[in-house]
Amino acid sequence: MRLPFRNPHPHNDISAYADGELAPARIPALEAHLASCAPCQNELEAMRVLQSQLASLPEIEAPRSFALTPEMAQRPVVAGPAPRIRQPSRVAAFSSGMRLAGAGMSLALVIVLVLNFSGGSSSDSGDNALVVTGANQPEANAFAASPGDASIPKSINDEPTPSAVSINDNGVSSPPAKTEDTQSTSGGAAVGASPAVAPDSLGVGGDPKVLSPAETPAPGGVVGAVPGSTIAQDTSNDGRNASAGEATAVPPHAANLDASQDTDSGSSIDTMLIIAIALAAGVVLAFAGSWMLQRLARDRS
Amino acid sequence: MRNRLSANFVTGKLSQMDPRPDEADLIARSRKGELAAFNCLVEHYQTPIFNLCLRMLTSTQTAEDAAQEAFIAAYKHLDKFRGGSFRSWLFRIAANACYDELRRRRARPAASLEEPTGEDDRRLDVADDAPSPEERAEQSELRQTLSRALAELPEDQRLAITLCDVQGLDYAEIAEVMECSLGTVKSRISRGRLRLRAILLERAELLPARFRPTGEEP
Repeated sequence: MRLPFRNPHPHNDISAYADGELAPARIPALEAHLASCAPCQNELEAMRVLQSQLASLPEIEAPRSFALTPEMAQRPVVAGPAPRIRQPSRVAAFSSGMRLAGAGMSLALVIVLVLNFSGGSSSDSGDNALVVTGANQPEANAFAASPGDASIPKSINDEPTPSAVSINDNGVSSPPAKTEDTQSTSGGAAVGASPAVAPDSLGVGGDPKVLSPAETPAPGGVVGAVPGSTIAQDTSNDGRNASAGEATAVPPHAANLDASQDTDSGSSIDTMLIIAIALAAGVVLAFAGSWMLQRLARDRS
Repeated sequence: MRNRLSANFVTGKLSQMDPRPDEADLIARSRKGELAAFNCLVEHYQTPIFNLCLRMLTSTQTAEDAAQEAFIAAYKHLDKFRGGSFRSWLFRIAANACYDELRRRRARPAASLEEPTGEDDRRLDVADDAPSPEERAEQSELRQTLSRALAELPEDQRLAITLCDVQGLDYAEIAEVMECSLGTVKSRISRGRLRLRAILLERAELLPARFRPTGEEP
């Protein structure tokens, strides 16, 4: 069994293990590591010694009674340095937002990598080709609809333009899309913005020269396009489209497209487009996340 | 060490004053403004709260002030206590009082009390019932070095270590006190201990031979 430790010495796990607080699932891996790592055995031993030394520090009796006098009890709350009940600060909220942003960006990066990888292999290149046709050549849409894959024409009916379909087919490539979907949905505003803006920005994306300026003005729209269109497709297709079904449905018709429509420029445009989406998703998630956390903090107080 | 407090709750001073002290009942009565009921809670928790403040602030006087402020704030904000562990809630208020004091110290660095004074060390290192004079001296030396090392840790790590190793709280309670995730607690304790060990290794010559940390840093 491969050890799940990225770090050669799992300090946190050793310390938690010494406290009897390590999650049971991690114990076998840690014990296996300890059996073969002398420095970690030493560290565990040192932790235990330190624990007992700290526990031996004497508890000091309170030097006086802290019982409240009636005067103290009547003291106005505002007077004096009364300790506040801590709330998450703006900084903490923003950093949590940034964490969400990081998650969004890495998710999009994974999608980019998957697409690039599949672009190289013959069996999966259909995904890539489909995107290219959607983004670059609107007329290909009719072509895409024709080969008889029921899921595609149906979703086209639901979407304002063919380009939305192409993005969706990327996004749908399964669990990641679902995660992003839920994240943006919880973000609230992002989803609502999607259908209207998506066609525009994606249409522009077809032209490589205009692509980069277009990505900045409407990040919300671009991000929204992914979950928005996913939702539309999921609800309209009676579950035929759901995750695994979708994955198997795409390749056959995509293979047809691959033969006739694949272009060289498409792949890099596609990558750029998705990187742009990733960046925009990061920014929107950062702000949505920090806004949500601040609101939560306000509700609690 | 762990659950020392809950054990004391049955056998300690409070039970002598009231044969079956019910914490929830005392809290409910305190909420209605019954100061005597709240003072029963103060009586019970004042030693652990004072010790937490003392470890965080290293000065008896400021620790007393912080503990007193914490109890006043707890009384004033009892309506914000929404069940769960009252001890954790009190510790959180006390920890915040300590953070406030430490922030004030940083604001006026000239008057910083970050370095424990000799007097405070004596206060922190009161020897208990050690059997022989040599052992007592050794223990006292160890405690003094340990207390100084603890005082050098970053505040969050010091609080986590104090709550865990000195006060005997479990990780879930510490997460409640520090308002953070279990993962953060785990990492603060681990980093705090590693740092503490590094400090002790640096000062190994100050420790009695049998207490010297051994082994290389992994």
